[in-house]
Amino acid sequence: MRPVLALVIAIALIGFTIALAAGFAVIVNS
Amino acid sequence: MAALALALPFIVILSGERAGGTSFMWDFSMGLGFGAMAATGLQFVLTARFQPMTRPYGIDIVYLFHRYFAIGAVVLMLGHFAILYVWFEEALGDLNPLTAEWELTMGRIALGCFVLLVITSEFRKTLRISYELWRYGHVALAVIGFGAAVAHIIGVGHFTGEADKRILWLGVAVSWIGLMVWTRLIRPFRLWRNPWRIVENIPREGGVHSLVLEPMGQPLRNWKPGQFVWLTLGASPFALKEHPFTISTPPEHGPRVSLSIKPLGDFSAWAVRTRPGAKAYVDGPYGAFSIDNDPDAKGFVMIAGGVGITPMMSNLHAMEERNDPRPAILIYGNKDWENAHFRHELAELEGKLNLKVVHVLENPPEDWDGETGLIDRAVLERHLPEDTRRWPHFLCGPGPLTEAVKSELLAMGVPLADIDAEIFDLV
Repeated sequence: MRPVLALVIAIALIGFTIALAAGFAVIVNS
Repeated sequence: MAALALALPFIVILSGERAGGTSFMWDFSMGLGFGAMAATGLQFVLTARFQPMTRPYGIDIVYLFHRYFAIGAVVLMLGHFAILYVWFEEALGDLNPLTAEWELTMGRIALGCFVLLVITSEFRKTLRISYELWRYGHVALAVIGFGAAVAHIIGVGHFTGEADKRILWLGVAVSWIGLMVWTRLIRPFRLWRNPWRIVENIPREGGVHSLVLEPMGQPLRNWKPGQFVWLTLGASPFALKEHPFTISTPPEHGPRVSLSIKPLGDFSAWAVRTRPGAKAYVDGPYGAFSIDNDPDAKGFVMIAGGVGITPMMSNLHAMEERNDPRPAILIYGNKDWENAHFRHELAELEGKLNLKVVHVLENPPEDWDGETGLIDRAVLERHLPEDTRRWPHFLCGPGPLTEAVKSELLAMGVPLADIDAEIFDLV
């Protein structure tokens, strides 16, 4: 259970960071 | 907490006087760079072994998370670089460090260090790098890479040019350096101030030795059965020469701890020859492989291979001390009877506890009438009745054994949440 959770949280956080980067690019270009 | 830490650089950049954007792809690349930096900084938090963070999950999972998350951070960095390389190649300038702008060279050094970190960690055994060399190299590459990345961000100065933002960035860098000082200097210093002494070295079945350690100062705090410690022998705690070992005695037998060590590697082969009187340093306890994690359990299933029996011993002895009436089934796989560690102690425990021990031998002696071969589906089904499916299942042993047993248990209807496997072999 725990190893799967570690992978899921890691992927979620990296996805979140990519979303932040994209959001940032949209904001500074608006 | 982690999400906030990741968002922090973006909040800082977007606060106050905002620099105008260049183009979506350019700014997306910059954003990936900042995000990668924040994710990399979090790695230092993960590996600082802060007990409040390691206790609920078990430190093996924290390290596993570090591994996945760090790979993700390097992917972000590669994305940052790849976008620039594909769409804005001219901005990257000269590759030659003598003629290139220094801050871009710093960025390349950082990227090189982090890629190398991932490669040496994922393929340490294939590359035949010793654990000690890997550990020194890992810390060195992390510090150099992180320093180069900070220099790169401040040197390039996109979105960090204004004085207030530069101060904020330095603040972030300083707090990360503080974390490193904690991990590499303050924590070892505290261990150094609190040494332990080897009081006994007991040879056991199958070449395993139990080192009994006594605290010369403070004993372990918040110790639960099944946990492990990092042991430093014959070196100072600053030398990073520590190795993880499970405590095979229960907290009720404290403050002494007993570490059962099988001479498998260079360090363990040397450690089993330690004489009583030697000084040692003990960092811990860590790990969540404990019957105490599930106080409402109706019983326990334990499946061990070889020296993976040590955390089970600690848990079983704790049950003995507490007169715990709950049933436990231990399925224990070994090459042969001579290598079945603690077999005498297990036989004694069977008489005192509601415990059933099933030995499974690959090469059984001629007069053996027990289970033979590997721990497979048939063995599991024969000894684990239907009503044990919702009991906690503890697995500890070589990777292939725990993986195989885990998938069989899942197929038999044991919920994933009730299977707990200790992971030691991360690098």
